[in-house]
Amino acid sequence: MNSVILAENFCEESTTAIYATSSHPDYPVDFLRDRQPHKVWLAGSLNDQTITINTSGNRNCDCLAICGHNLKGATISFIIGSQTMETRVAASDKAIMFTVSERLSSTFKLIISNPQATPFIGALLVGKRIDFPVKPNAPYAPIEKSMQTAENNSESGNSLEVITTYKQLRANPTYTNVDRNFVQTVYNPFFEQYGEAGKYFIFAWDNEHAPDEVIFCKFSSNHVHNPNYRTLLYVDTLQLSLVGRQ
Amino acid sequence: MTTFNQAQTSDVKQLVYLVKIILDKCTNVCGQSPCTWQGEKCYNTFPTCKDIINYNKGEREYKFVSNQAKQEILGARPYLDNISFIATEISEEKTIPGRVTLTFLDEPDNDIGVDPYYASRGSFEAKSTFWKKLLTRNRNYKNRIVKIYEGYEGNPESEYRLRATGKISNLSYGSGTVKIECKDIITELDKIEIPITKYNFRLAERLGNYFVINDPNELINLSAVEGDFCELTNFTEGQFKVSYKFNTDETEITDFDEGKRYEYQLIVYNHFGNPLQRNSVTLTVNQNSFPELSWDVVISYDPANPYNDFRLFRREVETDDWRKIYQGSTPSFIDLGVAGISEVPPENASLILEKMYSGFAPYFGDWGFVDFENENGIKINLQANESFAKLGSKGYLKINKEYISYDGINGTQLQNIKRKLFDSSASDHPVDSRLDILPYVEESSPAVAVNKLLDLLGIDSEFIDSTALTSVTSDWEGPLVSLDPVIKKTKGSVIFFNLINTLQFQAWNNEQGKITFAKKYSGAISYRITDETGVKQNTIETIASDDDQCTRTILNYERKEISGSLTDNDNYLREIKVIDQVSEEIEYGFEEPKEEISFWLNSNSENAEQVKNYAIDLMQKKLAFFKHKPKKISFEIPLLHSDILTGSYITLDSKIFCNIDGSDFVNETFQVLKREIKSTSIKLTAIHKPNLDVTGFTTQYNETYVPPSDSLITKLSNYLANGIIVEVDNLDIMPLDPSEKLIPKNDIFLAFGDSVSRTKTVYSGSGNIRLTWNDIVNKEADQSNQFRFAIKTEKEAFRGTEKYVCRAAQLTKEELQAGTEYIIFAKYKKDQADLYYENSCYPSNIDFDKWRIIRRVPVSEVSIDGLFDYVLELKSSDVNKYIEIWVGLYIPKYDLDNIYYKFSSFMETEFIETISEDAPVLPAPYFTGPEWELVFQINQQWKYLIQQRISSGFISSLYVQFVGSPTAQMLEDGATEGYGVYESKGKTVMQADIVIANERLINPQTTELGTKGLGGSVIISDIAQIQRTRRIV
Repeated sequence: MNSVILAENFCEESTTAIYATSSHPDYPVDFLRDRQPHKVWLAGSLNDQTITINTSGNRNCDCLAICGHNLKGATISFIIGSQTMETRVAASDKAIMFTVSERLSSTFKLIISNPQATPFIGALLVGKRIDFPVKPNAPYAPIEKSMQTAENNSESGNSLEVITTYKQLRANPTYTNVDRNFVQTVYNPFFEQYGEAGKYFIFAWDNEHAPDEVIFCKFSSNHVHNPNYRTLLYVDTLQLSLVGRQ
Repeated sequence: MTTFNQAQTSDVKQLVYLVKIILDKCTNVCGQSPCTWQGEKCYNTFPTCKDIINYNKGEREYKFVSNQAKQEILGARPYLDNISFIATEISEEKTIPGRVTLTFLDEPDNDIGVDPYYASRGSFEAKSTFWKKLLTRNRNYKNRIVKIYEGYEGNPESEYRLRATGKISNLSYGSGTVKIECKDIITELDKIEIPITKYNFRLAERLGNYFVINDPNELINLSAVEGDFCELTNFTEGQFKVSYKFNTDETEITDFDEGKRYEYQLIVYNHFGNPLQRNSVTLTVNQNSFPELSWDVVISYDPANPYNDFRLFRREVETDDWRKIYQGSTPSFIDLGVAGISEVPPENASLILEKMYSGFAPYFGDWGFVDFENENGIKINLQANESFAKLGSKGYLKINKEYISYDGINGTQLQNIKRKLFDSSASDHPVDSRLDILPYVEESSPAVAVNKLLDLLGIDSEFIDSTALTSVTSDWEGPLVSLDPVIKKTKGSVIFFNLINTLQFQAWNNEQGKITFAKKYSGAISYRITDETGVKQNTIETIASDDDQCTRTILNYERKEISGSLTDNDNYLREIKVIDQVSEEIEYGFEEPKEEISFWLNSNSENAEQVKNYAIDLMQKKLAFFKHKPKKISFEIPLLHSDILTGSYITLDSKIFCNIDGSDFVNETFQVLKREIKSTSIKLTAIHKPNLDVTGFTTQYNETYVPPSDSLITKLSNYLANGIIVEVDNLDIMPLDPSEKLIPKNDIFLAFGDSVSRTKTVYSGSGNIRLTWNDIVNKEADQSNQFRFAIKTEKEAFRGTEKYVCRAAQLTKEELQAGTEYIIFAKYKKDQADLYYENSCYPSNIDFDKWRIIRRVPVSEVSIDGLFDYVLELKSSDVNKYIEIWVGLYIPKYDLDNIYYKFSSFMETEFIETISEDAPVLPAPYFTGPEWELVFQINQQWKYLIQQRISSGFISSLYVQFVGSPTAQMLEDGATEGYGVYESKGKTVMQADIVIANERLINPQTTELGTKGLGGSVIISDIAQIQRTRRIV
């Protein structure tokens, strides 16, 4: 599967209504109306939960992603209208993306069954995804991690401890031979709307084969948006520099 | 999830800080009762409140974590970018407060979770950023609490450990970041200046102007208005009995018609000529039925309606022939049936004049009168703005530029006000005038003193580590501490840390933000740190401490003048010096003092020795600690040992120091003075705590003589001039021999006795003491020995040999010539009038706490400056001799046994010693009777009354008699109780000066006053002469 970006989010629209089966009073479901994973919806109980997103009118939708959750072991389903689009068991607490066939509806649901702990979700994005026309160039390192540490040794030279002070997750996919029409009509508007604004989005380099390598990310501070880097007459090369979390 | 300990001891870990900021919020729901606002919603903060009247303050916690932290703490925003610590440091004099600067990132925020009414605003769009909006809606963030927790990745919130708590002191907003500075709560003490103005105590009524008068007639010329105060320096109050008796000498009633019935009316007049009370009797003159002639009249003295004179009217029953047969205040007359003046007694003899309320208060027309309430009657109402518990039951206040005190609180009313204290000037203070608190702590245990002071300084109890305070004070063996009122502009921290140093404690802000306490020189070891496992490589180093070294320590304590400097050594009475002479002379060869002052050590006769010993201990330990300059080091430790906190005691094994033989320092005790948090380690500054060796030190103790202030002399002289001595705060003593260190005390006490039987005759507590030859010879068992007028004082006053000694006038019995009277003024205070122990010469319940001797008086002086000028005039041709009149001051607390014991101590030691040293030869040609003249002056009221009688022409001789008072016992001729009367007998009574020296006392009950006819006397009893300050209402 080619790379996918989910940046659109119906939840953030003022006309959208969001409901949950139950919510902790201090962590309401409205906390999912932004893409700030530290603002967490927390269920009111350990029971199965359904989060319902009602847009003001029918919308085309083919993607849902969550991150900052504790749903490992729970069964989660993505429903558009009354159609269950996909169901899976969360393998970890990392970001999860559902990429499904596009459907028109005003009701979208995430059903959490058999949660292992009172479920919470930091960010939930639902909307129309961006499909890259190509895969990233190979070789590709889907998750790059770096960290900064300091070691404390004793006066006598014994190693006492290692302190991690900084961790970062990066992804730097490069796409060559990207159709210029995609760049100009899809990617550039996406960058201008989300990338330049420093907003987070969900990126999956290959959600079909590497669903555990979905990241919640934004463009890094040293990212250079250079859509005019043209290699051929009708194709361009895109280089993404992303930082984020899983 | 891991525990803190698991994470802390793991080899690899990520440090995470959790910060909680606690801001205000309104607990109401906008638009719901009690909130009345119905428009656009507020944000539940005060700056955005639409219904401030119903604003209900609560708290709201905002949580932030390190921005690199995983999302493990729900509700915590990962905005914390950096923490910079400037750690608190325990230092010798004053703890340096800590400071933290927090840097937060900012991002756009849609208000969900912040704005409680976001749903009603119709948009979830992120308008502006989190911090911008938060600060705009909470501009009252200053001084709000910030808590900083330390934890590790993988720890749940409950495992995080609180490492610092402070208050927001400053905040700045930059490009995308916010910097918040927090300070230790203990820095509040630096901000509080004395007098303490932070409380909103205000007058609910006017505190009027203040007039001081010596003579009530001065009132007439004053521009006083209602609500003003008037201080009469010579007021006398008491109860007066009028006893009227017919003389029973039947031979003297021949001028009356046998068998006739006569009606008498005795009417009391005030000095405005208004009749106040009437007492009448009808008698039948019958030589065979004299009992009918007995007539006692008792008229209670009413301070509001004092009498001026008595007038006796007589008529034959059933006739209208009223005759005034007597007018005067001492009706010791003889009625031989004189015709008298034809005058009908007034019909209304119970006149109470509404506007005339004092014997000393002239009529003021319509505006008011001097209201002589009871002695404790001066009150002032305050507005109920603050908790009155803050004031305490007794204290001192500043109102405008005047200092006042109070001695009780009843609701919002201050009781027993005293004004114009500490040389301040009284003035008119209108309603709403502000009252600032002067810190003052009565004798208290350390824990009470610390809590009281911190409460006064505005530190809430929640910020005081009561557990630690209890721990350090539980085994306290030092003296009680106290703080005289502080009136000079001073920082609260100065007062606080002076107390802490006095107590040999340390105080700092602990990680919970509480002010915690530790003992200065000892503590429980909590950690062992070694070069092997604890000290981070290449971080240990020594800190120069040569400046801390000293060879002597000096402590000044017991402040002399409240109005004097708080920090000037010269304003302290006592000084302790502890000197390491070996160091000064041999080892180091220099003299390096460490000098300090204690505001909190104050002694009295009970604890002077204890306080002194404590002060010595204080200075000895300090010298022992600093004489070899304490070793101070700094080093870093891994986060593994992050539970070592400021103030912790640790043992250290390190090569940084070595012993004399070259071996490394092992297991040496250090205390952590400072704990600085670095990004990946913790830097400690620690000081070595050796065992304190105080051997070889020498101690010096000095006291300073302070002459009485001019104002004090004047004040006291005024009182003495009127036969009154009032409480004096700082009366000092001039010893004849400067080597005799005297302790300034309060109140007067006088005693005398003989040296053999040690029968003590102690006069104290009230009245002017008059001693006659007969007083002494009849009472003392051994008439051949010397007698002393003795004054109670203390050990330090006399060569330090006994705690209590007494001595005074060096008079032999020969010197006390028969017929010579010695009059010594002593304290006369109302509430001590009943202290006299009946049928005994020992007073009960007298406190010798705080004694001081006023002056020794060389006999060669014809008149004595100051105090005695008005009291005692000594004349002697023998200029080589002297008399010592010792007068002390006291307050009433002691019981009888204590007095007796202490007096005995004196008698057995100092008294005898004094004889041998100072008066060894007998007989000494000391004073002889004719060479002596002692002048007794009476108080202003009596002057006034006497003047009235002189001017009314009804007085030709004057009798003054004391009954039932201690004075009376002293006046008595040989009996154990009774009274005496002095008669001036034709001497010219000039003004109010009644010369009574060299006159015999006579007793009206044993000596016939009259020989014929009706006689009588006026008995004045229970005279309480006190300073009166009263309010004009």
